Amino acid sequence: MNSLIAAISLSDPTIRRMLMGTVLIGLTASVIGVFSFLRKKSLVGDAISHAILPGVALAYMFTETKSTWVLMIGALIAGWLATQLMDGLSRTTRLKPDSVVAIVLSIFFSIGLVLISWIQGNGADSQSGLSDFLFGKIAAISSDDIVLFAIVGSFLLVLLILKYRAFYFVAFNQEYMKVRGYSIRWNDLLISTASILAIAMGIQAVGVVLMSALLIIPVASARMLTFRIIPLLVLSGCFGITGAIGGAFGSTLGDNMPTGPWVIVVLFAITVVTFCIRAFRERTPKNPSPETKNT
Amino acid sequence: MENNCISVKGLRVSYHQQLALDTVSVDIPCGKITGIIGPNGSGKTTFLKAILGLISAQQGKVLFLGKPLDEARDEIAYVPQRESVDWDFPASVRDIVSMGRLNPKKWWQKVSAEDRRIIDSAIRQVDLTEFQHRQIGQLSGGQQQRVFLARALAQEASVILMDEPFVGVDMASQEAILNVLQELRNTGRSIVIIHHDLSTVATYFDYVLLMNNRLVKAGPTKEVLQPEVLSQAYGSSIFFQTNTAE
Repeated sequence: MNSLIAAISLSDPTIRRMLMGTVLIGLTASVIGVFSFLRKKSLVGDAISHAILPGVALAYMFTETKSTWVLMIGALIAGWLATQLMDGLSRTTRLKPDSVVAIVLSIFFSIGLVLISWIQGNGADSQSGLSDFLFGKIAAISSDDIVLFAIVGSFLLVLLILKYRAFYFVAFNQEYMKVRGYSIRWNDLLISTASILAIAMGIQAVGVVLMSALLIIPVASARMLTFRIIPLLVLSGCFGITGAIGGAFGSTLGDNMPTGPWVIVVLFAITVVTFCIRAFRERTPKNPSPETKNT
Repeated sequence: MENNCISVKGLRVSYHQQLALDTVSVDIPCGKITGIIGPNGSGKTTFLKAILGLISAQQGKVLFLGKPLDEARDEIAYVPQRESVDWDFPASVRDIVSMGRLNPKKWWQKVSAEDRRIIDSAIRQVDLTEFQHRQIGQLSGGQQQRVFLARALAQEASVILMDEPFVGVDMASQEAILNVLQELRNTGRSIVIIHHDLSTVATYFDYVLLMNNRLVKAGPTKEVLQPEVLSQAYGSSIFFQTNTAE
């Protein structure tokens, strides 16, 4: 409990770093996640987050460093290969998207697990801490990481500010947009690259297993409250930040507590609240006449 | 100068090695409401999607207003089948109409004051002003179709292609949509509509394309709506239906 109080008082530079890191991760993931949600590709985010594990492991094996930008490049390549493989399988076979996602997710994830256990068993670095990538360890974030996250996060947010209308409308009505002259493939490539980067940002702090939840749960909760795109983006961003901060602080409650599950627990609480608000709103008439009931 | 809004030469489309459309060559005149009719599975939607490049054709050449598709995109508005759209999508009527003002050539997709004025007037023209902030799923079938029509208006397109706009729409709403379409035609726009209800063909369309995996006949409505012509597409059972049409 003392550690939680220390965390909330922000006296410790590690805690401040942690806070900045989680805010950047939470905001980026939850805002990019809006478009995965709109494109009905929530599970693809899950597949990507699992699929980047072998990329991270290989990047570590080849460079023997754990610097975040190296691991992110590994993650980007693996995530990108996974999306291409999913696209290719859907196009060339008659497999339905859910099967394709399930296949790619499990194959990449198991390769990643095999590689990680091999690295650790090999004695190359038994303290590599690579297994933290599974469930996340917020304390692993360094000052360099914060700079990197700030750069990647702002790049992605600027991209969204410029292009969100195109992304939004392609998600709604691809054929109309294609006739208008928008390249659907280019659009897909931009969004999937953005999703991979957002997920890769969170691998150390939140972990690959649960990172996709940070993409989807905030927007799903926001959707309970609004159907307009701007409020959806803003609310989703706020929920993402809250989840990430709550998770980071929650995980300081005990030694060796993973951050990822804590983030999801906080997001779940937000979902419950938004669900209740929606249920309450639906029960109340739209224009209630003023009541003059006195107790 | 160009009298044909769409001119198709030798269009041939196959799906999984099965011929869906056999060498269609046809000119669709400008400034008219043209109907594409034919039995189920006769390649009407395939034809429309193929000329718009949404599915790839084996061969064929298509010109819109005398220009290839890529040079004419701004002038073409496509209205997909209502069933193909997710009506639970988080968007308001106004959001959808604003799609008409998108500019694919620009990186920053912002809405200018001029765009806003055009969007307002498009919504007004289809009589949806009071519903403009509603979520699109909370509209009737006819209103949803009008949203798409307003999007085409906001785009200021001169050629509007609609896939089955009257399906699941009651007669009163059909008339309302038709009135807007007729106004548009009178201001020189060309409208092409896939339609399956033969009983309304005579009143809705100026020009008709009759298809049955090939072009059976194209011409003014009266010429196509003859029992001997229709039977080439629908078989002899059609005589029963044409009687009710006339």
